[in-house]
Amino acid sequence: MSDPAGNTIAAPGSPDWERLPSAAVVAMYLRGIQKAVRENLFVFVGGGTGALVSDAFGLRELALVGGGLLLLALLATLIYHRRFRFLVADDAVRVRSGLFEVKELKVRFERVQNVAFSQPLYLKPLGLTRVKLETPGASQTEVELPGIPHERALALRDRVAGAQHDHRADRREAARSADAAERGLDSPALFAPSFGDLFRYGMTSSQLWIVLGVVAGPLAERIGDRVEDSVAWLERVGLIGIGELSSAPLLAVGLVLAVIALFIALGLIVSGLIAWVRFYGYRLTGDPERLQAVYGLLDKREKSLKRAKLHSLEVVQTAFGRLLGRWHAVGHQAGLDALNPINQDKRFLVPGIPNARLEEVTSELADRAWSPPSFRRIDPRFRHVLWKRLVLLPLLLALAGWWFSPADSVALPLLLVGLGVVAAGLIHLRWRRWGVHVGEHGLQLRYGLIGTTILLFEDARCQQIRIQQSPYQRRHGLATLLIGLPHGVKTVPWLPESLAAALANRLLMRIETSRVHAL
Amino acid sequence: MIDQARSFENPQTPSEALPDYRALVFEPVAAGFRGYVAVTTLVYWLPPSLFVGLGNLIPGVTLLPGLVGPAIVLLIGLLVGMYRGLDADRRGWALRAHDIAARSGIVWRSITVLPFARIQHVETTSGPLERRRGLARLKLFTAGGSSADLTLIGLDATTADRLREHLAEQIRQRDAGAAEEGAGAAASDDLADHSANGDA
Repeated sequence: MSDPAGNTIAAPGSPDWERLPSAAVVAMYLRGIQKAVRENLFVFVGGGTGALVSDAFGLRELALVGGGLLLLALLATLIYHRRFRFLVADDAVRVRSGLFEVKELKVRFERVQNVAFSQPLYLKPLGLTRVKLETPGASQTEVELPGIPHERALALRDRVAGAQHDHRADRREAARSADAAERGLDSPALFAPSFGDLFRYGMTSSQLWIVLGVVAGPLAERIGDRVEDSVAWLERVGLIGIGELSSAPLLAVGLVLAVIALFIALGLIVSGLIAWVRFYGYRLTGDPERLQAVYGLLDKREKSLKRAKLHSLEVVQTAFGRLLGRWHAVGHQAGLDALNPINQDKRFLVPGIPNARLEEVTSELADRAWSPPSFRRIDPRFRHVLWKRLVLLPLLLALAGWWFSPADSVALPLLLVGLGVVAAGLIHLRWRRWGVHVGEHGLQLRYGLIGTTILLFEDARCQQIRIQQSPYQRRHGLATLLIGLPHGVKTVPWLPESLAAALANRLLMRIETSRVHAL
Repeated sequence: MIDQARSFENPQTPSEALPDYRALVFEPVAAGFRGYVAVTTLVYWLPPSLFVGLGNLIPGVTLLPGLVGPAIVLLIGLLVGMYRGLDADRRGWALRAHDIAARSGIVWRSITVLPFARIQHVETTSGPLERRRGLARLKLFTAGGSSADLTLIGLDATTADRLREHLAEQIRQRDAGAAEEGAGAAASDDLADHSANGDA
């Protein structure tokens, strides 16, 4: 039997269809539990549901429910494993899977833009590796082999690379690329962050603050209880008295601030350590064809990305990163919605780049010499309008409300004016950061507030162009340019209309005359 | 080779010479679209107005104050309807050799241009009310997104079908061109290989 392209198709059940090794059941089961816990942790911890449930049920009931769920999950995993089949052909991989409804998927190697390996701690003794093939056009991973022998995974990766070259009839390159894949880990690293780099990257990561935001409620209660216990203990020992605390408000405030500072410091250290564990031994290697990153202490990962599929490159310095002089880079590929948290883990991330090495690492990633260009700022009226509409008008309304209200405290208007000044300052920073650089082949956009993000992309990589004008912008000859990139829409606000139009026309010309396909 | 180099020309294209999207002449939406807008606005705003009108059944509420609520809701609906009507007048679409453009908005105006080179697939859809008025909407999808990247609403059903066919043909031609290019590259590479091996 053969498909229209003439490729041999094996009937399901024939010897060509492979089953996952028996040991993969363990990997699938643990992975399932891990996923369920991760996806539902916030619901339990954040919503305080966990506390409610634990109050309503005893430990025995909870253990029974938990045990039942675990047994059901094991049963489901066994059925899923039993039904899972995959077939690696010359130009494609086919997967048949499903619990109740079996679906079959065929992905041509030519479409694969990222081959990702992952080997968590529990897979290492089993000699298995999890393989993900990511393709454009899919919002989630299309093909995942939950656990195959490591050598088999390497062979699959090489076959993907080889088939992609064969498609372009460039066999000499294919041979060279296969060699490069073999060398992979031995070739000199383009970038290998040190422990300090990774630790500092972890401290600058915004993920910690998101987690803290979610768990802050339940955690604050616990901390409050601990503080009360500690004060009671201090009073018992005779070191300090409640009376002294109430008569010395500065001391009380100092104690609270010290607890908060301790809490933040602890969070920063934990975050730094998590980043170190996650990116342990990070090595970025590459050749003209693709980039490869290998990292991980508990979960050893290998990510490979074809340069041709790299649509844009983002170099980011968060507010904390600015203090610590650290950047990170993100390589974007088609089909990965950057805002979707599911896809956060799939980005090609280069962590902990020191200021001094930013140009070198970015040049390696972009495959051309790069240094921060001089950016053209957006129109200053952006700042003026926001000042008037978002700061001055609400401030005047609030002050008028206070003036006509019976309250005679001056603290409120002072606070309002203070907030207004801070908001005006933030608007100014936002305006200052926004910039565009028109290069020979592509644009570079800069944006941010206290931190900075620089986005580099070639004109031909854009998907669509939109030009927007508000009544104010029309009156003053301004326009906002919205550039559709494969991973999301990027805005360049408040440009002179003539410049926005010239950029739009240039981008359209480059897309329409380019031989680079969107995929 | 030298002759080839002599005959090769590569004149610079000044940016002013590039095709300008501002010179586009937009086709208006179908005539029936205004009626469709009026009906859908009514369908959307009448139920909330009636729901607020149920306040009259509350004991103690006299008729006149009881009518104020529904009147406010209807007034908002009327304003929304007027806005949508004006918006329908301004909406338009334009087809060029290599892209399709859509214009919308009264207060915040925008023009979106989607090159054919980036379209993955095209579909036309129409709801019961649209079908009754002979309207359809054309949805254009690019790679990666699950939702349509550009939707043209208020098209005459026949126009929408013609556009869909035209765009599908453009995609087919593009893909066929890409395949030929790949085959051409393969053939030239084979020749290069043979030359390198001394077979040519």
